[in-house]
Amino acid sequence: MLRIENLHVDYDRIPALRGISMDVRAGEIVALIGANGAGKSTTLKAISGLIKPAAGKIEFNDQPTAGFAPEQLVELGIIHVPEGRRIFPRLTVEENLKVGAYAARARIGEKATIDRVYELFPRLAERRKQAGASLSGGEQQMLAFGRAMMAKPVLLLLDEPSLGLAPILVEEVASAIDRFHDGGVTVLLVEQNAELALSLATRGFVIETGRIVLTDTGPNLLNNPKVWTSYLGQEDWEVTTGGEHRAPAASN
Amino acid sequence: MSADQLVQGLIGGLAIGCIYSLIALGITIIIRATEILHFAQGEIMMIGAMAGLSALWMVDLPFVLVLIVGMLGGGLAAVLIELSIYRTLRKLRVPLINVIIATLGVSIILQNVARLVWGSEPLRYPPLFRSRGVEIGGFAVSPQLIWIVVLGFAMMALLQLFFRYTRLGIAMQAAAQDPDAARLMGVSVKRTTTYTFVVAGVMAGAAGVLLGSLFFASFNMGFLIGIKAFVAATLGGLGSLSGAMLGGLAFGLIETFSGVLISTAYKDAVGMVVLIAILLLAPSGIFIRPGRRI
Repeated sequence: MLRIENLHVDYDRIPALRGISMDVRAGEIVALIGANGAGKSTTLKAISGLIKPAAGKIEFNDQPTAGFAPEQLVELGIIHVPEGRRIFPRLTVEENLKVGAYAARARIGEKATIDRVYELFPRLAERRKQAGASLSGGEQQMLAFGRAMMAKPVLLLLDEPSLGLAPILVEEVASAIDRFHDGGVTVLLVEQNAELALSLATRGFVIETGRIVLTDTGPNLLNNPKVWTSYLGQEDWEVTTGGEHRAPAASN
Repeated sequence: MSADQLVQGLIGGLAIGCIYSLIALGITIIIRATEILHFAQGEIMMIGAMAGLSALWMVDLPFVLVLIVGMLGGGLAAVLIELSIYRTLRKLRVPLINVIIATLGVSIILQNVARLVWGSEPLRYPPLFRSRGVEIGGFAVSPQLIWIVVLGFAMMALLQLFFRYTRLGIAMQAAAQDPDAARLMGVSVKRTTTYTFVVAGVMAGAAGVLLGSLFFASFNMGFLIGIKAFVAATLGGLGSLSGAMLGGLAFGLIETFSGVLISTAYKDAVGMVVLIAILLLAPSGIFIRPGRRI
């Protein structure tokens, strides 16, 4: 579904991505993990068209995406939920959702989708007339998911959905991602919380200073000590009985 | 001040205030969407006045149609300027301050073009309302002023409905609040920016016809009115639609009553004293509250 070849991105001539190659197949949840500043968000921004690559190729369903504006990629079904949720602060919950269905392909059956969003996230239904800025962090994340649902994603790019949320809300984020996946949406998930990401993912890529350094299935990466010690820089990784790992909470 | 002066001042102040509000609303939505201080907004208003008057010269139209011609004229002028000048400047990624200076240039160019087309003499609007004075509570009031207040409020209500209930209006707000997030939802911010100029131009065009019908139309009618609309928008906090509306009405009343109580000769200066006072004492405007929606 998504193929990235030798992708280079520079910020003011300082390289952020130095030749990334990866692929996401239809129906997968793929995790992209790595330390702060490794290039995770940059990769997502390049896929959704917010930044232009210096070199390399991105293909969505065998079609090169070079030259497409983000709003045109939305029409193809690439939906990017950016870091920090980016709820429209002075629009109500309902208006935020309505903007989610702005693309022509998303307007078909919009009423049914909005009902489904309210069914899945009853808190949003309760607060439908409230301004986005008045929601708590967890509610804003639910609204970001709801807004993405409204856009009818084919490929969903999620940037740090669990950032800054309490553990109980992280569970809700995980089940929301699962629901997208069950609904046939392919997911590319960027997370600081590598444990969460890898436990959900079918496959994972580890990125370090702009390069992919390791790729494997989600469970294999989860149990690979090297992932935690070398790439994520967590010294206190330990193996507990039964091969279950216990990773320390991601430090933000 | 007699009761008659009070009533006349109220109605007159509200009428001129509506005109300031319509221009200030355009200034406000342009700032929110692009951060551009649009100094040519008064000239767009003037183009609206001239367009309405020209249409009247050709055919004897009812007032509402003249108003619509003025709105079309203002909208058309705004979209042409946006597409040919401002969008090009944004594409070249020139600093914002340069774009703002370009709007001053546009203002002067429009004045001179209007002088070429319509001459330098003030032009009288034919009387649009043939009815005699209306009596309200025993006071004779000009029907002209009543119409201006009614139409001005109707336009502002329509604008609120547009921003609150239409998909395009909501998307325009989203694009103004977070352009990148809006693009990620499929909104073409390039387009919503152009629509913002169109909406602002339409409101200014309406203001032009209303103002022209009250006094007269001239190539330089937009300059001082444009500055005063800026004061009104600043009074409202340069950010919220309701702020711009209330700011315009308040400024119209302040100016009118200063004319009644002090002297009409100084009413322009009083307005500018108000501007400086707001900037010194309440720089974020007097009608703005945190977390308020537009």
